[in-house]
Parts: sequence; C-alpha cells; structure tokens
Amino acid sequence: MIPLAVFGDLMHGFGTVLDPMNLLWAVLGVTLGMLVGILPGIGPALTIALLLPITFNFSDPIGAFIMFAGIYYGAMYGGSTTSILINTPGESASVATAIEGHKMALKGRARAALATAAIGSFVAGTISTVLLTFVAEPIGSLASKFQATDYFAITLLAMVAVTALVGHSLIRGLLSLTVGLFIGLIGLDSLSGAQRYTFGTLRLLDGVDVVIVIVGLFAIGETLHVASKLRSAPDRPAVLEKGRLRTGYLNKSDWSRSWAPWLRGTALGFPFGAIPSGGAEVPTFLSYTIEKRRARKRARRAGRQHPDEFGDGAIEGVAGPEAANNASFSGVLVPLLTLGLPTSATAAVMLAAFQIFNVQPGPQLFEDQGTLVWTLIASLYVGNLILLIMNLPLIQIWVQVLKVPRPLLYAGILVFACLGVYSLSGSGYEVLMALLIGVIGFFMRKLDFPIAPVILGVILGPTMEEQFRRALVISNGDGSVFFTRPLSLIIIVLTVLALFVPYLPRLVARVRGTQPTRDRLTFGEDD
Amino acid sequence: MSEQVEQVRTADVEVEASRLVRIIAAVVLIVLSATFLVGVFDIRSPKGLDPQGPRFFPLLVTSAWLLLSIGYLVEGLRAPRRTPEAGPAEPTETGGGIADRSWFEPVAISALLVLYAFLVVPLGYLIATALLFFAAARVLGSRQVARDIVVAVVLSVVVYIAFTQFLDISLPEGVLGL
Repeated sequence: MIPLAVFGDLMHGFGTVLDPMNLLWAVLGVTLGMLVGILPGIGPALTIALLLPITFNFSDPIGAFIMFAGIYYGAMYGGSTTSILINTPGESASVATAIEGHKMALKGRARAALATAAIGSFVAGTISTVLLTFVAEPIGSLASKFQATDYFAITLLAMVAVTALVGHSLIRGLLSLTVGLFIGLIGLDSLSGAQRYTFGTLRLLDGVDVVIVIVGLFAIGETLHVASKLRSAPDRPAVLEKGRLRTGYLNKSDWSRSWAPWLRGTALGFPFGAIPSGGAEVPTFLSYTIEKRRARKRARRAGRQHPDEFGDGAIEGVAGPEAANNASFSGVLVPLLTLGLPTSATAAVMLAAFQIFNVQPGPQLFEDQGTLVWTLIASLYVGNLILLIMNLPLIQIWVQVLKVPRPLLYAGILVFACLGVYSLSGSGYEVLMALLIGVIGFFMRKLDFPIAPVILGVILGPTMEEQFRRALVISNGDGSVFFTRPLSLIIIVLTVLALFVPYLPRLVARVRGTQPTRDRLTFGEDD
Repeated sequence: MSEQVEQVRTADVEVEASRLVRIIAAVVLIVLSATFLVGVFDIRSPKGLDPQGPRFFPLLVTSAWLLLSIGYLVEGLRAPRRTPEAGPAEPTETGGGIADRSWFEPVAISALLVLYAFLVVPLGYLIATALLFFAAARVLGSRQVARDIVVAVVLSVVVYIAFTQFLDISLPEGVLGL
C-alpha cells in the first residue's frame, strides 16, 4: 500500500529543488563533498561544522540542507577516488574500497575501478533514495506513537551502539561518551532553571554551543594532530601516472561482474545505515567479505586453481563496498529524519544543523516541514546524477585536488574554524573555547579515543535527559515505566546487547573451541 | 634504510611516552570527574537527588566518568612496557610524542590561536587573519614565503568581502577602518 500522495510530495520536492538557487546549493554541496572526500583527513562532519555558522544567516534553511546532504554523499563518492588512486582512504568508509581498488589501479585499471565505484554509487544512491522515499513517512507515523520512555530508550541505544562499534576500546569509547554528555550538561537546566557547571560565568549560562564543540574537536583538533605528525610523516605528493587513467571505462565483463555486487552492496548499506552502527564502515566491510567469499566459491566450482582475483584487483571488491557506502547514507537519513536520531558523527552534525534552524526532526517533521523534507529527498536524486557526471568525465580535474599543499590546506581550515566560531557572537572568547576543546580533541586523537561519541553525547544528552525526566513526571516518579512498556524494554535490552557486539568474534570462537582471529570487532571512525 | 632504523628506535621511545601520557591522562580524567562529581551538590535542587530534579543526570554522568577513568588508569598501568598495546591501533597514531620535538607545532598553533583571539578585534579581521594564515602555514611546514603571503592576503580579503557584503556577518574593521 504505497500512498500515492508520496509521488505528489516528491514531485513538489523536485519542483523546489530544480529552482536555480537550490540547484546551485546542490552543486556547491556535492562539489565541496567531493573535495573533502578526496582530501585525506578532512571529512564531511568537519566540513558541515565549518559551514554551520555561515548558514545561520540563510533566510531559508532548505538551501543549507540541500548543501549539507550534498557534502555528505559527495564525500562518500570522493573518498573512493583517493582510495583507488593513492591508497590513502579519504574517509574510513572507503578503507574497504582501497584494498582491491588500489590493486586495480596498479594493474593499469584505475579508470575501470573509478567507473565501477562511480556508477555503483549512483545505482546504490538512487535505489536507496527510492527506499528512503517510501519508507520514511510510514516509519515517521509509526514513531509518532512513541512515548517519552521509548524516546529515552532509543536515544540511549543510539549512543551506546555507536560508541560500542567505533574505536578500539569500549572503555575509551564510553569515556568519550561521558565527556560529551558532561559538555551537554553545562548551562541552565531546561526544566528547573538551575545552573549546572557554569563555574560562575555568564558565558556558560547558555551552555557550550554545539558548533564550538564540533569545530574544536574536528577542525582544530585535527589540525593540531596533523601538526604534531609533520616530522614523522612528511607530506607525500600523490603519484599518478597519466596513462593509467586513459584505459577506458568498463568493458563487458566488468559490467557483468559489477551489477550484482552493486545490488548486494545496496541491500547491505541501506539497512546498516538506518540502524545505529556508526555509519558506513560495517556494511562496506561486510560487502567486501561477502564478495570475496562468493568469488572463492565460484572459482572452486569452476575448478580453477587460483581461487579468485581477490588480492590482485578484483572489480567486485570495489563495486560492492562502494555501493554499500553510498546506500548507507540514505539509510542514515531514515532515523535522522523520522526519529531525530543520528547514527554517525556526520548525521549528528546534521542534527545540530536542524536544531539551529529550529527544525525538529522526528515524527512531526513530515507534517510540519513537508516542503523541506521532500525537497531534501528530491535533492538526493538530483545530487546523485550530478555526481555521476562529475565523476566519470571530470575525474582528471578532481585528481588535481590532491596536489594542494597540506600546510596551506590546514592553515585555511584554521581560518575558517576561527571565522565560524567568531561569528557566533563576535568575540574572541569563542575562539579560545574552541581551542580548549581542540586541545582535548588533540589528546583524544593521540590516545586513540573515538570522537564520534563526544558529538553524540553533546547533541543527544540533553534530549535523553529531558525525555527521561518527562517520563518520570508522567509516571509520578515511578522508575519502573522504562521496563514495563514492552517497546522501551526491548530497546533497553538491545542497548545492553549492543555492548557485547564487538566481542562477538571472540565469543563465537570460544563456542566453537577455536582461536579467535581477532580480539574484537573494530571499525574505523565515521567522520 | 637509516631512516627506517631511526623510526624503529623512536617507536620504542614513543610507546614508553605513550604509556606515560596515558597514565597522566587517566589521572587528569579522574581529578576532573571527581571534581565535577562533588560539583553535583552545588547545583541548586529543591528535590535533592530526585531523578526528576536537575542533580540526577549530572550525578550519573560524573559517576560513570569517574568509574571509567579509574578503569582507564588500571588498563594503562597493566599495559606491558615496551610493547605496543594490543589491538589493531596504528602505532604511529598512539605515539605520545614527548621524545622528539613534535610537541612544538601543536603548541605553536595553539599559541597562534590564542593571539588571534585577542588580536582579531583590535587589529581587524583582515590583518589578523592574514597573519594567522601565514604563520600557521609556516609552522605547518610551508617554506614558500611569497606564495603564502599572496594566498593569505587573497583569502582574507575574499572572506572579508564575501561575509560582510553578501552574508551580512559583521567582522571587525580594526586599524584599517574600512
């Protein structure tokens, strides 16, 4: 029962997005996204954070969101380019692509690798956007039946699940989370008006602006970290032989080997993006593993001696993960739009953007902000098309981006970071605050603490507390409400289970009585 | 080749340093969380520690923080010396960086930002930003003075004009008095 109204809403959205100004934002967004995706060390979260203060002054938030969404999935496309050409993934979700993609490039098949990545991303992006189109509103109306206890439970689940899955240590992940929650506590308590951790200064009454936290942790923290590594890792220019890019797009066998991994990747990426699993790392690696296994099975059946091309530049190993990568973005939008629940660092930053524009994502979003949501969804279709055009014929131009000198790049990031936080209130105080948080971010990077949980804590902590207290007020202070309502109970049980997911390989190995291959499941951090 | 040997040696020192830095970080975290835990009782709450009041969540968060910090300290103390910590963490990423002079650049960048925070209003956006860009690029390893100056000036001017003219964000004029 697909409501026909969806088509009407979507067409209306297309009408808005095809407005020249909005198209411009879409192009600007995906271009910026491509840029930061290609450049190692700079991710979509940082970029959106730097742009947040600038977009404050937009009269119409629609343009800002079209741009932000473009940055997010543009970065997904761009990351693959760096992975394939120079084997330094621009963002962690492209790590899986680098394994086979770079091998292909070394064999002189860079263009085919880039093409299967770009077309796969387009296919996955489009299919998953169709899924988003039809799934979002029903889930939203389902979510409208949520009560305070459910919201509390699901916020907790999002924070804990993402924390458990990113980074290398649960203790460090949870420490990051508590620090984020603490920063979220600073300021006036919204329910009682009591001052919390304001240390007697008026500056802190309104709390620490989330933009300062994001810019500090990502932009300044990353720059300090890069600065500290200058001596050990000198700036290595990208090596790229021109001839390797002129070997043609996909041939017939490439197509027949790519389409199935694209679809399987999409099928993995969308649902994994939608559940709190920290973004695109899990589905990209799963897709890689699945394609590798299938290739081995196929080879065995054919009786070939060499099991497969994996490890030597198999195109399936690029097609699958890249599709999963892009599909996960639309997946991430499902909980973000319908529940106001971010499942990755970038989504958390986007949620902050929604809040800044006084748009509250959640079940009511489709009613209150119908135009905004449907324009955003329509912009995804358009943006995917723009990216396909940008990636196939124009790839040579993008490769030039890798030649920007690192010192100038990071100096520029500092300039924009300062500009962003300065413009919040027009005083140098914000710059100092962002620097303080940047220093924290620097030490977190040095000591291998994940950054994403801090952002989730800062952004979701206040919501979680409010829902918790509201639930208690409704129940007259009876704490058992969280366990007597079945939905809340299920979510809380899932939260506890999420803490054990990273230890699954070890547990499985123990049950089987074999040695575990890895101690913990770990995934890189989504930035 | 000689570079590789050197890298191995500094890696050893870095693991040591990293162990020390971890323990210091854990102690700092314990002190901070304990202070904030005590600070819970400075929050004015008519209902005391009632879960509906403003003290309950801070209590939860700071207690969890304190417990985790202690766990982190124990983890750091139990970590074997001179071997990289277990797990797939990249060893270069976890280096404490006290052994070499790699603390210089981050400290210099931080100092630049502090200066910028104090000078941006009196000097004006254009001058302060151009200086920040130039100095930061130099600290970060750029040695092409002429190119950096050109980029610094062009970037500051473009940003200034774009923001004050098109986005209506006011930026300090400072001594130039534009």
